[in-house]
Amino acid sequence: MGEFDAFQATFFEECAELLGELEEQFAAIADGDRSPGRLNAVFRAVHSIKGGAGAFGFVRLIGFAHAYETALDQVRSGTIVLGPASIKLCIRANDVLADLVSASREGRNPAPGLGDAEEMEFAALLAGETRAGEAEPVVADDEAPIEEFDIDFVPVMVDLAARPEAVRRTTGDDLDAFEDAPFRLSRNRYLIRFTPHGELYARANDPLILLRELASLGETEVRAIIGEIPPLSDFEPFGVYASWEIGLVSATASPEQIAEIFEFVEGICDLSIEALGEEDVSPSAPPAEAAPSFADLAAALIGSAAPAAPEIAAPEVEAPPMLSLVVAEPEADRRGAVQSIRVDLDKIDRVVNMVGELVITQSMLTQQMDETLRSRYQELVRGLEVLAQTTRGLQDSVMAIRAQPVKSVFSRMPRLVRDLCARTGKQIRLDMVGEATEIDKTVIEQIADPLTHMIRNAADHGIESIERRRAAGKPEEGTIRLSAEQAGGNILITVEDDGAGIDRERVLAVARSRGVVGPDQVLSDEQIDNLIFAPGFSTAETVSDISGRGVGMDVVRANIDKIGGSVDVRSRPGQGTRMTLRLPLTLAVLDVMLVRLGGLPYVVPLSVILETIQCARAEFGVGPSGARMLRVRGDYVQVVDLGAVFGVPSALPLEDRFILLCEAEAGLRVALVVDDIVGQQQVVIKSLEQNFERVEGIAGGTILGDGSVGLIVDVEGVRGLSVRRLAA
Amino acid sequence: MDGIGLDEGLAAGISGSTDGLQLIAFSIGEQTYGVEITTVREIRAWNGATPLPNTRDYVRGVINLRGTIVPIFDLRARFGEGRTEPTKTHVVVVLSVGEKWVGLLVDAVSDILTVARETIHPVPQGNSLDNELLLGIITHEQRMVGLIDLPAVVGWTRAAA
Repeated sequence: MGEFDAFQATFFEECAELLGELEEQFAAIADGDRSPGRLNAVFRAVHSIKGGAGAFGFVRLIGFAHAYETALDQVRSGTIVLGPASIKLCIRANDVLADLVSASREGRNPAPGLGDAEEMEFAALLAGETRAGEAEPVVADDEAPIEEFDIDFVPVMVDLAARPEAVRRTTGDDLDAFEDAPFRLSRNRYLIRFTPHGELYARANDPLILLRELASLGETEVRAIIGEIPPLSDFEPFGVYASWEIGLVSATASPEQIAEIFEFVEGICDLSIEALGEEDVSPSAPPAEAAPSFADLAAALIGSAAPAAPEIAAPEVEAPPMLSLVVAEPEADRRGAVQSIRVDLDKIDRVVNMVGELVITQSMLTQQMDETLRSRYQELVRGLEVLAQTTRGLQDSVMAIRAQPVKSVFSRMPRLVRDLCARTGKQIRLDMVGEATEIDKTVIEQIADPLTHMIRNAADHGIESIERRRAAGKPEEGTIRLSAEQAGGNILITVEDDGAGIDRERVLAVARSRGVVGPDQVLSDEQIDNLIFAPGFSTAETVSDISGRGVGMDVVRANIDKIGGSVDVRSRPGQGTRMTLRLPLTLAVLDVMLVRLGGLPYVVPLSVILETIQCARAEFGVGPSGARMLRVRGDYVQVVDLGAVFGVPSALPLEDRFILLCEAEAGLRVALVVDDIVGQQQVVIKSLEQNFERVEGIAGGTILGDGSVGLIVDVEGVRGLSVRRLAA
Repeated sequence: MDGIGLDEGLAAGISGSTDGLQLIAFSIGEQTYGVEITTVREIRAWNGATPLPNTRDYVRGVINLRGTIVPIFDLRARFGEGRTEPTKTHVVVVLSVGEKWVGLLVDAVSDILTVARETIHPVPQGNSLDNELLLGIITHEQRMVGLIDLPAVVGWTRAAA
């Protein structure tokens, strides 16, 4: 990969994160949270996408991001107030942005006309904004516009367009005490001009640190003077082009204190500190030059691409050097971001694997210590105990590195639901809970598809059409609730809808007609519900392009089984359906039961074992087809002689052997007969398919303590094998 | 380690002309077979394998090769001459087939041969297994060496491997 490609790949990675961020922020904004932090985050995300797109020349993406950003800027400044309609517009714009990003990534042209409508609406919104701006003073002249003004005041960034009004008002007579409060304190104003020399940078000084120092004295407004910056073609890497003007308002700071901050850079910068007296002195006229913030400076550097220019110039030219509480805030956020690094997942996987081996070696060593060794080598024992602790700690930390919030998958779902709504004409609200729940990255990758299928299924089969909902006396808008939580060593992910529930009669009829269920078989409601996971099963009356192609829910089950999870469905007619995914926290280490068959070691995942029983104490019966059954608390369970299925017949009489009662698919239980149960341990799963091929009845391999390979039993596969053996 | 890595000095010391072929030759009873030296990853002494259920009879099982699982194929069984009864002197030749690594269980590794490509003869019609499993036959110092078609021997078509 060339350097440029690598940069580009990083850009797209970042885009994915930023788009996720947008989705997340708007979910909160749509719920009524208009905090400036969210708006700023949204603005920064769009801005970053635009900046990157500029560097790579994705013209359409730049154009759209610019239009979006311009509108957002007005929102952020409070000139445009976000209503339900404009939020919807923004959410649509996020989707357009996502499409444009993926088009850019795949190197194809975006669909013609994509985003045009949104762009026009943004333009309309901006046009409306000027009118709103004119209307504002009228409101302000009103007698009691306190709330209005309050709202106007809250946005954290300087309300650039509206503020001149506010400033004029401070000199008026009809001042409201509330409105006036922030201005009436007696505080000194300073204007500090700071122009670093090249020398300053060469001595590894950072202007940002100085500016932050200044901000600690009081409220600052920092303006970068970037008029000196030449076009990129003439840009000299070590040239010094930027200087700063800092407006400082402080109740305590003296000029000496300010000078002190710059003590260490004395002589390597030009510095002037100008006392402007008490703060109600009218602000000095702003320079005609644009007064952009750091972010804009960056934008100017990256995107000499034309569209950025007017946006920088337009609203901010008239900005008076007002005090702003937040100038430092974006920087603070960025500082937070610097504290993470991008690491190739392969590298982490290697560490995870090695730690897995370490855990196993350590437990093997501990097992080797018998009583005589323990009493003779106490130092060694103590050392091993420390090793055990450290290894555990190491394992936990490494797992934490790879753990990711499920948000990365959840955040794709709102888009999916919007698309589904558009296609089906239904109204569906998606509620998401527990997005911060963390799971191993490898698990997360495996659940994206199943989750998509489940949401589709809920939207397509679960939620009824608007007419039907109305007829049933339900709200027109259906709700799908997607939640994640940790429960012990598992993560539970639930998809719940308030739709019609599973039509059990129809499911059963279809299942019977397809031979999935025998004509005389009687099934419990729960068993019928779980039939939707049977292979090739679909009950959709009309096959839509959303779901109902007969693939889907069985694929969900297969995918989830593959990663050692389980899926369960509960439905209440007329009230809705709840599907629950139970997932392991990690795929790297598996808790297993080590067993022996014909002298060979095999391992069975602990997660499927319900109980272990001595054959001598078990109650056997004979099923109708002559097969041996195990009687467990009134139920009959199919018995599988694992040694016979694996071609390693046992030399032991049945009563000396053991039974593992296991749960296979769809709650079906199966009793595996093994020669001996050795004990529990943790193993690292190794693929057989990497160098070989899939082997029926075997889920994979693992390296045992003695260095040999132990095979992991696939209980469902074994059950299938034995059923076929019986039939043959 | 009980395996011996391929000695690079040895391999490099053999002068192969551009159209020559370097083979590692190994024996099964009286028969000699060869594989192209570039596919050989490692040669190890036999140290047992975990048998795999429900697979082809010539699949001896799997071994742990420094943390990855590698399948072992019994070459004698593959050529229809019965299962090998391996001892400590038997040898596993680890080879790469496409992306996958596999081991062949053989009696002994005998030689490194350099042969000219034009000395590779087609397999005579008659023995269908030989036809299926060999790419050609080479005569080297009055010995017949069967050039092994690896994907066929391990039971994968070229596409599947």
